[in-house]
Amino acid sequence: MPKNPGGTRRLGALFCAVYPLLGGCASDALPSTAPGSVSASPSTSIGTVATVTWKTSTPTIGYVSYGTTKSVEQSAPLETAASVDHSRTLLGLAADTTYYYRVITWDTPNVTAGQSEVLSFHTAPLPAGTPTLHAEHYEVLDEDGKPEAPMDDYVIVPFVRASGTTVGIVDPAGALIWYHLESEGRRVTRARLSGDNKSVLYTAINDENPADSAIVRVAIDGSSTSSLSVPNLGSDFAVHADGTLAVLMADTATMPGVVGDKIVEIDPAGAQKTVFTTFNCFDPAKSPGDGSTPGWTGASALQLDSQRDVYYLALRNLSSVVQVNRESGACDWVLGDDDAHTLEFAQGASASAPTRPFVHPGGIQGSASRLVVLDADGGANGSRTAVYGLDFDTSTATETHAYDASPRVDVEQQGEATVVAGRAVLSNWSNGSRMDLVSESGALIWKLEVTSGERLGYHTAFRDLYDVKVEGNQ
Amino acid sequence: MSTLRARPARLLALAALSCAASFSGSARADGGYYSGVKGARAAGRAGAFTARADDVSAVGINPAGLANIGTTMIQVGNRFSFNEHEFTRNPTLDWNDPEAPAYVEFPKVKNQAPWQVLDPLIGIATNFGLKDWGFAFAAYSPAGVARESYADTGGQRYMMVRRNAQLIDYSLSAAWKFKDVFGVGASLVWIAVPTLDYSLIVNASPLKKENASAVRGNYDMYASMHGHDYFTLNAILGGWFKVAEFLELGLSGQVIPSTISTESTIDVVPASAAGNEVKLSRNGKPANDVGLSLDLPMTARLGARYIHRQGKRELFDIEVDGVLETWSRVKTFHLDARDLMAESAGQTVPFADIDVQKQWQTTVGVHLGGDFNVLPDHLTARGGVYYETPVAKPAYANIDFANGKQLGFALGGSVHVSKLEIALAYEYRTQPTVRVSDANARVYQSVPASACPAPYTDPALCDTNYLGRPSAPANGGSYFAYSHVMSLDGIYRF
Repeated sequence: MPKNPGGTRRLGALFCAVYPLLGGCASDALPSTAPGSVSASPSTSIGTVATVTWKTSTPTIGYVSYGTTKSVEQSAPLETAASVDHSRTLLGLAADTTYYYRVITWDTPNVTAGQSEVLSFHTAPLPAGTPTLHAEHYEVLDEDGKPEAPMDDYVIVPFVRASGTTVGIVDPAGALIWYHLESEGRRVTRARLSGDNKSVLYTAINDENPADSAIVRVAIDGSSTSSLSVPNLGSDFAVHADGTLAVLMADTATMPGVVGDKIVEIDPAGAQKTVFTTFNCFDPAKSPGDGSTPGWTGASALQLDSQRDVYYLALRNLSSVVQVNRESGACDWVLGDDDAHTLEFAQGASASAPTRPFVHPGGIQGSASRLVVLDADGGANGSRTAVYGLDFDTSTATETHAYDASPRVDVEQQGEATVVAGRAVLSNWSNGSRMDLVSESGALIWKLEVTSGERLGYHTAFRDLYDVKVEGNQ
Repeated sequence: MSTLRARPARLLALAALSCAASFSGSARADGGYYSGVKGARAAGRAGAFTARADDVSAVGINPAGLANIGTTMIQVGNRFSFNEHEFTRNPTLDWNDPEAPAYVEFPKVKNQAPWQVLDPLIGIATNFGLKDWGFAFAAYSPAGVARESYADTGGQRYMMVRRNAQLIDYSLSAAWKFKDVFGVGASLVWIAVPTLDYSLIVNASPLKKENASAVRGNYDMYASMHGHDYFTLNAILGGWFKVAEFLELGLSGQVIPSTISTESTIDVVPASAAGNEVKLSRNGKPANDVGLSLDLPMTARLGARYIHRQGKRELFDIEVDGVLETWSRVKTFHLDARDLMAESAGQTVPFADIDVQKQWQTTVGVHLGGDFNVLPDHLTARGGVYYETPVAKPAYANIDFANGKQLGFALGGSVHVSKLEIALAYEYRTQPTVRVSDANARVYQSVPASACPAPYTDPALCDTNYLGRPSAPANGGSYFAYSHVMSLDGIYRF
């Protein structure tokens, strides 16, 4: 008897049918929260991006699980607002790959979960002209014998070649998981994610007609591209959380005949405000610069520290880095080989490890107590990255560690060094067409080679594709 | 804070209350704590026995029928049953990962202790030579499912893990009749509950984010109650009236409201390594005794029996019974903590009394059955069908009892060999599938340490995924139950 539960169940069902007047079989109404009309649409312009849409009969929140197997082990974040029409862009997809996905929903008022079938889509292959990359990981032990944190960040960086630039996002495996081709042949130096994570912004500099320069905004799902005209745009910009942009621009107005640099903030409504000009802290007569790049000060890189409300500005021609007070436009400090400096390079911890000044800084990353610099010309073996500890009691900067490009690279423009995973330094060798992630002890943890030979613009590293918290600051 | 700290103990109490739910009861009723009827002859007629009531099982169905036995009989029997109870919890999200909560589907769980092989009845009935009288003494376990056991990790775990309820009714009955026109009778029933064990998993987390860990939690605790009640009195009154030679009416009922009160102890141990130990005490000394009270329903049975005779012999009879059971008395299961204190995570708080909401409702059952004398004095066949309305609304469905509507049929027969009658009955009883959505579910995961106060809408204190609810629903899902019951009695008349 008990070996045939299906039979007894059918018998029970028969009773239900026989006794309809007695109420049939008990069942309360089950709200349908299962997602319907679920579909995925790979972007037509970015083959490694897809948008999943679905509908629910009641307002729900939901998310998409996806992956290259039916176990769908990755996920895009849960929605924060309930709705009946849903859309979620999937990022970080590999090109020319089948992905499986499913939608999971939660009806909060009815505390009811829903789930779709596992469906699939196929990403497009990378288009011709996109760079080819190769990444290597190395297991490195720290001084305590524990493994150093591996490279676990995404990197957004322009890949520059004469025929055009690809703005791309590279995952730790070295796969190009997002790309956009600058179609008008303008020079691209920096790309960043917008504050709301919905767009990629990059500099598009027209060297022949500086008035035609712009900050280009590309929707992360590839659905749209727009430009914000920024005449005389410099080589870097930063992004505030509220969408305000801080851009480097040539300052041709302050002193006729001298082209300085300024930081201009452009709010989301388009209003511009100059918050700093290099004339605030430097006198062309006393600090003439070395003219290694066009213009007087040759501002090369800009970084925002939103928590401290300051900018860090690299001045290539003055071989200096300054911290700019955003509120006052004053230079809080100046470090470098210039008469205006307020911080001195200190002696190193030992004679064998002296503090070496940087020359012609590229990308920088500052903080309250540390400065990381791509030292384009300060090393005997070519370009290097240097980390300085800042001591404002003694007004000194002490080199704590440095890393020479190996094999040698002499960075011509851009190039950058940033600290990731708390301590390791990610060195971007620009025209060396590679990046190195190096531990404090100088061991190589990860490297990325651009085998197709493109030069790298400035980079930004971040940990979570869907919740961008940039390593360091913007 | 004191409210928050009282929760661990309250959890335990909840467990105890749930135990109470497992009770199988005393006086003759068919639903709620009970299922089916006792006695192979009554069972073979699907319980349509109120008017007939002519063997020892009359002590629980209609004691007035004892006035018609006209002799002395010893009845010994047992009820063998296979009791399946299935539950499939609704899928839900595991919010332990708040960014991408996993969609969790629960496998169907089944009663792991479905066989019940000892369910006896023994009794003697006699008229002591008095023509218009009948007397009986019987001991029996009430018809019901004594044990249910499920996996500790199953989807039902926040409702119940297992229970074991052993009950014995001792009944002393007397009946008198006026000629063959009408009769009255009464049974005095002593209900003994030597064992009442019950356990479930509770979520003792004080953390908002784990206040509704619907799937698993680091603060899950295994709470178990062990109790007994050796003495509860009950009484059943009955009567019959012969309207005509071919028509008899029977009426009986338990009209005295009574309550079973157990002496119990509660133990709580962490269900996971991260759980905090809970220590119970009273007046500074270790103690874990609690009291549990379970209301019993009043019942009324009315039967009408048609008797078809061939000459003076009864060829067959058909009886229809209506049964009313006031399960609406059971609003809650009440646990008296008797001023226990609970210590958990270094804090001591009062262990409050607990009322577990049941909100049961009065049920109505219809039983139709009869006997057919295939070979008079040698072979009797019988059969019947029945229907009982649900004791619980779907929102309050629980794995502790099959408390949806009940349907069943029975087949049986008797073989008479000299003074011995061997009666055999098979009964199939089923609870058709009951589905409960999580939206409507009203049995919640027990969260005794939760800081989320009623009406559970404060997003600062309550899990925002379950606003408006004390915690995650525990009883949403689908329920299905069925029993195969075989009753075998030997009746010796002399």
